[in-house]
Amino acid sequence: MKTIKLIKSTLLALSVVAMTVSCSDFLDVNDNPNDPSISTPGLTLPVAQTDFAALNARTMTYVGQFFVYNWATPSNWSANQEFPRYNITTTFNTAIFETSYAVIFKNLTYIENYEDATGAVDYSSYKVIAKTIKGFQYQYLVDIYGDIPYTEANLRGANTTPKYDDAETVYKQVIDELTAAADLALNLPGNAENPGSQDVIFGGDMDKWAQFANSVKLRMLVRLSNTGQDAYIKGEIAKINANTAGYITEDVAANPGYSDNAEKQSPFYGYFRNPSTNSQTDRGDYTVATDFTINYLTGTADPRRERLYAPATTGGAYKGVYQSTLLPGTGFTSNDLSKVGPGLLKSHAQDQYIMLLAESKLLQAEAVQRGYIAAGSAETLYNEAIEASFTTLGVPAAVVAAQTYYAQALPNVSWASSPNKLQAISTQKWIALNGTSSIELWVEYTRTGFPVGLPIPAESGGVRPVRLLYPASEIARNSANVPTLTNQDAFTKAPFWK
Amino acid sequence: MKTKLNGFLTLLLALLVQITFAQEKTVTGTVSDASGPLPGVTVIIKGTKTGTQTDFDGKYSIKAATGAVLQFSFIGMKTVDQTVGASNSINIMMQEDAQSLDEVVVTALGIKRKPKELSYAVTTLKNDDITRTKAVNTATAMVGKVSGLQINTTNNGVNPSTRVVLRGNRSLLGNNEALIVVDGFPSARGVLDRINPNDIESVTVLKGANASALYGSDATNGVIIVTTKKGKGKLSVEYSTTFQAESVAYMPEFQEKFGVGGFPDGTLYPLENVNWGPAYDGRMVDASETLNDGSVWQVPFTPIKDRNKNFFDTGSTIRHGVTLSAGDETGDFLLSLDQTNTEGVVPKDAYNRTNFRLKANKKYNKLEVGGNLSFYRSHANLVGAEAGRQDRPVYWNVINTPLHLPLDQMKNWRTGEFTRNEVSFFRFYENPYFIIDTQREYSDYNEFNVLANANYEINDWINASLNVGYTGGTSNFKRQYGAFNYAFHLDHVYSEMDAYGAKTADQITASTRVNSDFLITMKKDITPDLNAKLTLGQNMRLNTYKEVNVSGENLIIPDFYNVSTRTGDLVGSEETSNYRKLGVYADFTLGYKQYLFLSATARNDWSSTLPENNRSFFYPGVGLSFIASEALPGIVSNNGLSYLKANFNVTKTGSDPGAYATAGTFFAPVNFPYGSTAGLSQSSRDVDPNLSPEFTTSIEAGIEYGLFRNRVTGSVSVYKTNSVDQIIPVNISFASGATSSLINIGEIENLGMELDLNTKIISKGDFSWDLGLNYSGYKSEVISLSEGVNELDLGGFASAQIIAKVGEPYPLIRTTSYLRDDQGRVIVGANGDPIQDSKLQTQGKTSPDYIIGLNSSLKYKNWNLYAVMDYRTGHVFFNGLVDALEFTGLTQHSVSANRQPFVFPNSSYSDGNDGYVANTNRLTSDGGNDFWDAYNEVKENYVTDATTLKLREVLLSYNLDTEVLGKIGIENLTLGLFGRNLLTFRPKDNVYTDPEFNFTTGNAMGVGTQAQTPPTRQYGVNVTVKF
Repeated sequence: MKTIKLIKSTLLALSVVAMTVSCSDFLDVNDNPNDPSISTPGLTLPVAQTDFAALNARTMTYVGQFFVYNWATPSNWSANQEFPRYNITTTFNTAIFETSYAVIFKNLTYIENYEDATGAVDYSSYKVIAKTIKGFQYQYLVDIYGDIPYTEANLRGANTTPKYDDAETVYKQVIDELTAAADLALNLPGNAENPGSQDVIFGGDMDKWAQFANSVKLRMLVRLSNTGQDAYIKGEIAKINANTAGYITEDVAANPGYSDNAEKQSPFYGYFRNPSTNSQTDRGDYTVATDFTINYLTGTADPRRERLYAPATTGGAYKGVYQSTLLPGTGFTSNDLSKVGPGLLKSHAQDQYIMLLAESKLLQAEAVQRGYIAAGSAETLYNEAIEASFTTLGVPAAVVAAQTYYAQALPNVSWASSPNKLQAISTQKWIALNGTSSIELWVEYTRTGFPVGLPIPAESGGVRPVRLLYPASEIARNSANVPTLTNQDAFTKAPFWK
Repeated sequence: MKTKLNGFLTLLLALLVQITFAQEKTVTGTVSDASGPLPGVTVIIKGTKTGTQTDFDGKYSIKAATGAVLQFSFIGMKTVDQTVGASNSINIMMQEDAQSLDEVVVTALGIKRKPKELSYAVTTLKNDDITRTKAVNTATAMVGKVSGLQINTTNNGVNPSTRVVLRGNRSLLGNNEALIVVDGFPSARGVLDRINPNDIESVTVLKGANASALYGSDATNGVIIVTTKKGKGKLSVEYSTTFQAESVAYMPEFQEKFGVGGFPDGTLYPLENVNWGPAYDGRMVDASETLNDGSVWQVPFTPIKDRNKNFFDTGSTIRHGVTLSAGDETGDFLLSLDQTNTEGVVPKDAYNRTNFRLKANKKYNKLEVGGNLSFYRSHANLVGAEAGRQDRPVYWNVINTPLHLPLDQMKNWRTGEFTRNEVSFFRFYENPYFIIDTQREYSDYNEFNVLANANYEINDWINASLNVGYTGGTSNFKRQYGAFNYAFHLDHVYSEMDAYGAKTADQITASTRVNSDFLITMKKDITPDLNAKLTLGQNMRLNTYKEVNVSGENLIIPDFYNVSTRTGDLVGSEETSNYRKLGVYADFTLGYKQYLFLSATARNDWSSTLPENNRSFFYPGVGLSFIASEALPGIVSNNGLSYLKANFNVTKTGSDPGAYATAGTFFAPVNFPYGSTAGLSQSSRDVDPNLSPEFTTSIEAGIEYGLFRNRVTGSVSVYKTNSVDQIIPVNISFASGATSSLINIGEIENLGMELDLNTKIISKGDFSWDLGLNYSGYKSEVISLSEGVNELDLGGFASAQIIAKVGEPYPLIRTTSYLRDDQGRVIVGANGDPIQDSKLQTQGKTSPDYIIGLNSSLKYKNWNLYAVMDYRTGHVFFNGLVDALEFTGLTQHSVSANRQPFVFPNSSYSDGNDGYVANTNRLTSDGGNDFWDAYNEVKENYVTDATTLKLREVLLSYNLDTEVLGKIGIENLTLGLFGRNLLTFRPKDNVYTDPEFNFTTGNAMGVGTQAQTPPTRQYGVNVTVKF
């Protein structure tokens, strides 16, 4: 009797165990239902492009604007104190480094390495785009940080502590990549998939990608002007000429379909305005004009003043202020001063500029002036650049207004009246790229020293930064490789091309 | 039927024997305990099988011979032997078994064991230890009472959050909190914040991983086993009611010398929010904008005493609890209901909760079946944690209201002549009362817990049992943030904040947890001296979680909060998680002569979260326990040693990663899709496809002792735990194209010692004084991280991070700091200002060196005075709250030099030849806003000693005389006055807040912010009646 009971109970017990264990797929519930495990170049491309546009539109532009003295902070805000103090530390705007790699290159590398296992579809178009955007961004990383991870970068888990490569070597390798990108764009295989509207910069127009690659490459070559490598520069320009795509013919801009929604506004616009209500953000309130820039534009009767800056809320004047944390409380509050203007803040859905036609024209003008480009007129290119700038900023009757402007017999306005043509080109660049490619202005200032007379805030150490420090994250996570710098090096260790 | 017949036969036989050998008589009496007659007590004649049970009134009657020994036994009571003498009446008063060293403790899986068998440290708290001062939150009531246990209340508020850690942190980034097991059911961590403390019979703390290998990986961090009460004795009804008040204990220190304004030369701007202006001088200043008709509200320019403190209300908690219970040897039940209504110290914050429990158990011969059903619901209505224009806590808005403004007269932001938003002082941040009134978050949480267990005695040495439990929880969260609008604009304003729209968000979550354990227990005496016990078990676990979020902004109808009535896109997300685990385990104990015990445990788990080929992991443990006082009775004496036990244990425990962690993924970024442009981004986390489980090895040795007839008892434990192959997303160079990589890395070692000492200092007649002391000290060291990684960022802020560093204790805080010379002096530049270091520097560790808990209980007649204190030291704390204070110019240090340039304390400057000279003459460039704003960028200035001495609990209670009460039908009536957190002593440099506070309950401990309101104290009165 007892034995039977025992057997019965044991059987019952075992069956409970068996019931659970026997289902061999019981434990196979680890397929992630929240995030997909696959993507395609077409799906990942717009993410990389919008992130790239946003970093340039926001952090890089903001830092640039302060370093070239186009913006200041009003008395009623305690924000931005690191700018007038030039307090450059390892936590200063680290996004320029960190976002470039861990957000933008991350996805571009995925796109670049993607192959169709069946071989049916060719992804060369995507590789062109990935290489071109990477070239654009690597150029700034070298300009801003010097030596950077390149050959061992973007390998994710395969190399978590990439070594730092020599700045100039990286520059030249990037130049080669851009050459290859332009060539590939113009010679795509027959089965190459066109990204179409998933390319939110050129809508899949691969000729334009070749032009853009050429233009970025020209910018890098011109940057080498102080390095005594004219032969190299000319040789590389010959390669540009050889592919016959030329340079960009219109402003390069991204627009995935920016709209009046949280997170979806055009990135520069969304930096300063809230969705729906269109009210200004805090940053919109604490970002104001400098006295120097307002005075300069006023002094040269430049109608772009009304586009780059807004009249003060109180009083309606165009008024700027010096960069300081010690402004008097009266007369210098945000409403007493000019804020970011309507030529830069057009609408929630505005295109996000990446490279202006004006910049390309001025680069060409300088290349002609320096003798790197044999054909063409520097003056024509200079004037075309000013006209393009007026157009971009929405000056009424832009071309006519531009012509009126550069007809004034003022140095650095009229080509003829400018004793130093290179100074005129750089000064016009400082105006044309105000608020769109401002990081370029700071880097160019380091190279050229123009515009002349750009103030340095009184609370700083008296020297404008020439580079940024490697982020604290690199010092913590890649300490064996990251070069050691002191705070002072931000003001003394200039880029290799200076 | 067969059994009963056997019984009768035995009885008859016994009677026959008795009649033959002795003169027999009928003995009667009543058995009672402290609360009255006790039914169901087993009474047997020792050495025979003759026996009976007490009836409903505790009465019994048995035939026994003079000289026979009657044995009275009852679960939870000390067994009493009484020799039958001349009298025919024997009344017995039974004592609870709680204090006995021979008590039974509930260990893993509800297995009841005698402490002497255990080879590891265990502490048990009784209900009384937890409920004396009527804390609503069980976790907060355990502080200071158990060595090795650190409980931090990381935030104030009506429903405080806690973090419960045993023996320090082992895991760098994973969970370090103890597993909470309720009646054998491994529960979610939060259950300790939710369970009704009145339902708890005891809490057993298994401190090490040693104690808990049988629970599997969840138990690596120790286990807190909560056993709920069981109905006992005759039907009783207990009613308890508590009224508790809560008030702000202390505020950060504010400077009260200088008022509003400041740019650049101390100018007074009456409508400024920052206090960099002139010294307060009592003149009349504007407290509002000037209206178009020229009228303006003016107030004296004098700080109002306790202005900020008085913003906070006195909170109140009213609590009612009823418990109905009864039980005997064959069955029992308990029914309890508890309702708590709380109003918080933050105006309008309210919280209420309901706990219900029905527990019943019935024995049928060899089968025992029990069930335990509990229900919990709570509702909270709180001010938004991140509210208003800048998503900040309301405390920020209060601090941004200068101290000369009478906040209590500024509540009417809607229509007040000078206080409505259009004209009021509040030009940069909202009126705090606007935040309180319009920025609300409502949350509801419901939880059902069903436990069922069956136990069957297969024969006299084999036992089978099944424990199955299910918890289903759902939460509803609704955010209602009102719009900030202007009805009109003044012609001239000092400044005006931009209007913003209303927004709302909804979140629904559902979670389930199923756990089943099937156990077979075998007990066999191999020889009379050698006893073996073997438990074999199988465990199954299923967890699911689902969360859905929707939100909408710029709602189009005022005060109507539905995501459908919005402008702009609907924002939404969903998250699902599914986790399963199977385990088999064995627990074997071999006892020799009741003084030497050898135990061995082993478990194998299969986890769904590991890659298929690495899914299985095995971990064993062994232990030894030796009761010297029983093995060598000679060492025991009344004036010396009464009990001595030594134990040793080594256990390994394995853990698995979280669900879905092991596969690389893509995700749709928050800004996508843009219309028809869809996008997927690669994850920023790279995953090692060959992840293996992580293992923790714990070695523990200890002794327990009793002295002077156990008037002094105590224990000493030392332990060492090593966690290797932790599954950690290590932060990797951004230049790798990922920010973290999930890999097996490193080793962390914890070394610790725990001391417990309990003494009955005085025990004379009506008077007794018990004193308990516990000490927990531990040292952790990061032995290694991953290849090339020397430091690991665990959280915090860019300028104040919590990190782990090789060769250092864990966790450390690292902040922006000053350059220092070789003597540790701050280096100042030519302008006299301290120079900021380009690198962040480590400031100290955020876990204490040791914690000392002290509890004292004084009893005189019916009076009882009880107190608990705890002391923690050796750690530092970052007062992020100071960001708000420094920004607004409210810190005391900012007026230490009267806002004038000064020589920076303990500073030096370069002598130009690599040396430094003490700075006695270089004044700082400024002593006002500019200097202190720059000072605020250097967060080392706000890292303070986190030492605290807290008077955690005090109780004064009075038990009314039972005899008097008996006449009016009441069994017991207790009145109590209690207080919690009445006093906190802090070092002088911490003028800010409670270092226990933290911005998260995660591992990044040691960072407080203004999201935590000021520390509070609670005090109240309680009445408990038992019928």
